[in-house]
Amino acid sequence: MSHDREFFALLDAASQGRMSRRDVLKRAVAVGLSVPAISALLAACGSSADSTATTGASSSGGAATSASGGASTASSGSAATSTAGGATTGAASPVPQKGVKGGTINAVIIGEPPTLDLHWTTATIVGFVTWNMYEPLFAWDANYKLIPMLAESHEVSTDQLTHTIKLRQHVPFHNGDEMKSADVLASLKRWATKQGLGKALFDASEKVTAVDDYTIEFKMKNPYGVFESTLGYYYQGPAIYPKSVVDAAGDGQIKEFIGTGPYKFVERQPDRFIKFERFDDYAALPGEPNGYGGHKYAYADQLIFTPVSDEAARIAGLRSGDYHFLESISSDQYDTLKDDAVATADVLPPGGWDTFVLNWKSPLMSNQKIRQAFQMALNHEPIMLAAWGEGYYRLDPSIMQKETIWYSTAGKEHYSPNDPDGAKKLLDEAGYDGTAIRFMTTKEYLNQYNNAVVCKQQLEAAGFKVDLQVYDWATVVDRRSKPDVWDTFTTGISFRPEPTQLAIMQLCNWPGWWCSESSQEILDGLRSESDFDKRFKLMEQLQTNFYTEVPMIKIGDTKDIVARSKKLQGLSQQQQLGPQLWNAWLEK
Amino acid sequence: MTAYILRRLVLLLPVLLIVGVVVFILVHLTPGDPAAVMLGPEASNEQVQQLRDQLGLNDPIYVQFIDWVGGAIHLDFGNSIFLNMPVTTALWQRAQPTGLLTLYALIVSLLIGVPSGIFAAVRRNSLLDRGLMALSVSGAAMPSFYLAILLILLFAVTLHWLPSGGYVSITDNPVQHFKRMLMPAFSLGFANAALLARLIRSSMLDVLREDYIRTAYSKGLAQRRVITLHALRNALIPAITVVGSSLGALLGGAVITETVFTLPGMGQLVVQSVLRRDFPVIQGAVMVIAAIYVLANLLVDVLYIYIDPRVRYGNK
Amino acid sequence: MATSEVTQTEAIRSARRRQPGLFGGISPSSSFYWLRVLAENKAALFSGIFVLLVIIIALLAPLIVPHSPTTVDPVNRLKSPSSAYFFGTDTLGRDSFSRTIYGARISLLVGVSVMAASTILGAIIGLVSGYYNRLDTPIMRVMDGLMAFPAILLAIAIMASLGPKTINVIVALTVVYTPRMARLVRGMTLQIRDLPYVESARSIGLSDTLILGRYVLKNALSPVIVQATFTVAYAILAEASLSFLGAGVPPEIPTWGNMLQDGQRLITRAWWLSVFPGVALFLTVLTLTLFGDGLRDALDPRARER
Repeated sequence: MSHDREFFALLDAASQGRMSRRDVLKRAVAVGLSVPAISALLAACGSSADSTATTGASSSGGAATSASGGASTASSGSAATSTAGGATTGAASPVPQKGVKGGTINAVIIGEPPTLDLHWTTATIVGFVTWNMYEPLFAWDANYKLIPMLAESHEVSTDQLTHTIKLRQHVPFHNGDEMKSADVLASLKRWATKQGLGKALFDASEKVTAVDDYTIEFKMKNPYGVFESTLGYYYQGPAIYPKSVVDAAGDGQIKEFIGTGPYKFVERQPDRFIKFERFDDYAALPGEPNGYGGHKYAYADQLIFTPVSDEAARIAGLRSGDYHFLESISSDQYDTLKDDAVATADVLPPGGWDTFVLNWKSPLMSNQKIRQAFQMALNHEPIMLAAWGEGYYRLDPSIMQKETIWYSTAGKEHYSPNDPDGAKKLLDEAGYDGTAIRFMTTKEYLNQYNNAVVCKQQLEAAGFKVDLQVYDWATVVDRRSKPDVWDTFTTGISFRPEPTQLAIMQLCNWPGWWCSESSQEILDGLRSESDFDKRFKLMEQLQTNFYTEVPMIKIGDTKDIVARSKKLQGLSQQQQLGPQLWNAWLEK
Repeated sequence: MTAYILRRLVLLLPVLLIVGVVVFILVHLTPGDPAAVMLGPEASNEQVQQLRDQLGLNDPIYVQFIDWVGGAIHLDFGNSIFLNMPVTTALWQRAQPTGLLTLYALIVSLLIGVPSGIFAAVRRNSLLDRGLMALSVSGAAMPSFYLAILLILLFAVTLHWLPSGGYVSITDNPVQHFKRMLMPAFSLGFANAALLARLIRSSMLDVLREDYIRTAYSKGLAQRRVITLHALRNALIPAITVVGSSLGALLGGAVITETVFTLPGMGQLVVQSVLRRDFPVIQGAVMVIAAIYVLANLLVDVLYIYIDPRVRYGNK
Repeated sequence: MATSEVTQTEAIRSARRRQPGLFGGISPSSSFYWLRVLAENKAALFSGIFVLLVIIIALLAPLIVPHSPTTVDPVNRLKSPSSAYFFGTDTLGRDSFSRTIYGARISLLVGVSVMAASTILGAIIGLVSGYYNRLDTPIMRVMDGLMAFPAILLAIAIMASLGPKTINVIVALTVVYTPRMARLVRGMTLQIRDLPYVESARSIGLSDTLILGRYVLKNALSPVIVQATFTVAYAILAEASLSFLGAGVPPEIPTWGNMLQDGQRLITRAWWLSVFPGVALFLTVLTLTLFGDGLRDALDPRARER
């Protein structure tokens, strides 16, 4: 079951003809896929002409064709329809194991979430906790394509300008009211005041109306290729709240936490715990779980989230049996858990990637040659090794992870050049005067700090002067918004199934200020275009720009490790967007 | 007596005002943006500014100060930015762990410190005395967080006898509560016990040299009686002062102990609030801790008069 | 640092116990007597030697260490103690032994700087406050205000606003310890101010500065020295506590507190990261305290009897 994701990644690559049979075979064997799975893959290679159809056929027992994949495959010219409930997978999903009902899952989070209002913040921890009680219109499936969740279907008119969303009926909120179009409209409108992508969606639409109780219509000004993926945004995503909750919130945070999800809110004591319990009237989709969508079992009676900021305490609590799930531990702890009687740890496929962001508005880094020298000086292997440890990272130039359909090696010659002499030459050409690079990092994210320490050493070897400034995270996020106080900072870019949703795609509106006209143009195309092949080419161009304009350095992909009690079963390995507890259960 | 206490209470006001001003200035000199912390790493600048306006963080400093002082007079410290609740509520939720931890640590330090001090004084220059005093000096030199780490290493990691951290309310499960508080209370109280032992010993030695003790001995009273009846009572008077100032030291030390053992108390709240730049909580928590501290000292002074009639304040 | 307030009281008490003037008329021959007493106190003697050793190690650190304390070597991360790495290596592959040796530098730098700054500032504030009645109340209220904070909290708050730099640690701890010294000196000044010989000095027209310097300060000197010795120990402990909480010296600088912070996280994985810097910290503070005790006993004959 841990091979699910590998399988789908390979399937995609194969079916789109971006990989030869031999490559597929090699990788499939390397990741240890089973023989039937491999033959399914090879079959996909043979029929790469019609990718959508192949994907559909090899998944599910002949259910409806999912034509809405990744908000991208909807072919232009004809109306596309996707239907909820039909998008179940068969071939690759494990035979559904029957879980055990009951019990309380104690999950540990690394800090107190700033809010339980998902519209409010981009903090990943809020997504992890609250997606157990809220639901979106569209969810990402096991293959990182979008499938309807609260939506019943989504139709696009032939002129690409009208999007009609039909809602599922008889879906109750936790307060007993039925979800209707008024609730959805109120939630989306409120979300759009908080979230940039949402704002862009509403800005690009001429009119948004509730046609009837179960239908919403978006009239767009221009074709909007990222329509569905916008509504499937995960962190700070468009969770559907009841209209009454939205109205009561006014400008502030919501005061009641009510959704349609499998768990409902019970109690929150800040810095102590957050408690959910199963929502017995939950309107589950038929079929089986599929990625972040599909059926949701909600085996456990209760979910309790406990914030524990100290890692040693988290591990100790897990080993003593107090906790069942730790969302993320450092690789150094993996060894201690390997042979534990009570606990175990899973290394997940790469999620996000680490980066050094360069400040295009600082006198130093506005010089492209200096940015390129920075890039050229680095050898990424020791940086990742120090930060993550052997076996917990992947060196790869692609902005979008290998596991997605967006994988590309464009610009790879500029990835980890490890050429300090070349960097020196560039510095001379740029007339670098020895001004120290103001390099901000934080110890609250230890990996980032370690990245920075090794990077500093390499930069100095290439002739840079480096002033490493270690702040707490609160100071870093404050300072990074002030263009004149820094040159570089460390951060992690979290996983997105859709390239336009990456943090860096805010280009000129995000710290670092990647204000490049050519990149902006490509991005605009990427947003409006809905044909995948065209979009993929645009994305490759953008990645090439990424490596020549150097807005930041991609260091490498990072693998998260989650630790869990051996009693906790049914946890999906698909966690790039965050773990899902709604299908997990506790063995007696 | 009442007049004295009242006068002392009035004198506390300027002290607390100074505390308030210092905290407010420090907090607002601190770089870092609570709005950016709340909105997460990928938020846009626009979003952050919008929230700053809503939270009133863009108001002029003096406006914020006047607002805050106005509230603080009525014991209203405003609303926590991060926790979205009144600061007083947040503090109240954290009061039990900190209060009990401080209490237990005080008990630990009294249970260890007082008998050790007495035995060391009575058996002056004996092996016991030397051993106890060596232990006491070591205890004072041992950073409480290091002792905590060593205890965790031994009792939690190696022997698996005690949980390494976390808090269980005493009303929920008293057994688990005490199991979890044992190591924190000991690591926090030990340094204090060491100092207390030294003080008790030296004040005991002072007392044993007094005339009335010699008289008592010369009356033929047994040593045990002399010590419990006469010497101890007088030797404990200076110890009371120490208990008062210990309270402050323990409250401060609780910040570190709570961090190591992940106890959700006021100390941990302060540390976390600093990281979150939750200004109202930092201000409120420090004010409350400082107020407890000065009130404890006042209480000690009052007790002192009560116990030792030789001391007379009031007309200095 | 939790210990500071208590011993502070002790220092004041021992200062109060002493009769004023006891040291005023000290004869030249007996002014060396305390040195002999100190030398006869074995614990204090060995402690003094140990402290001296730490100072020498700190000064000669670059000559002693087998590896650079800051060079990262990710391939050799988290190695247990061996003949190549006496104290093992940390997560970045840096040599713990070298870092522990270098840690002595920061500890002593912070300890001695805080001691010097807080003693000088505290002495001035205490003298002025004790000598000039009019200034006494306002100054002491401010000092009371500063002392109303638990020391670690005040230090954390100052560090948060100033930012993580070594010099800021010194500033923060100086702010914390100055009021304690000021209070001690003020107490001494109050006792000495109205003594006949100070009054007579005033009556013959000697300037206040001269009187404060020559008579008052000189008489307050021995408790000040004792308190100063303890301040070194407290400041070292406090620096370690701050760094341990992540609010002290910048993390890439090797200090015992920083090392302990790293070590605590990995306590189940790499015990050596917590144990060695902790022992170094403990021994240094212990010997400084013992030396301070010895000094007090030597300078204060009455304390010696105990």
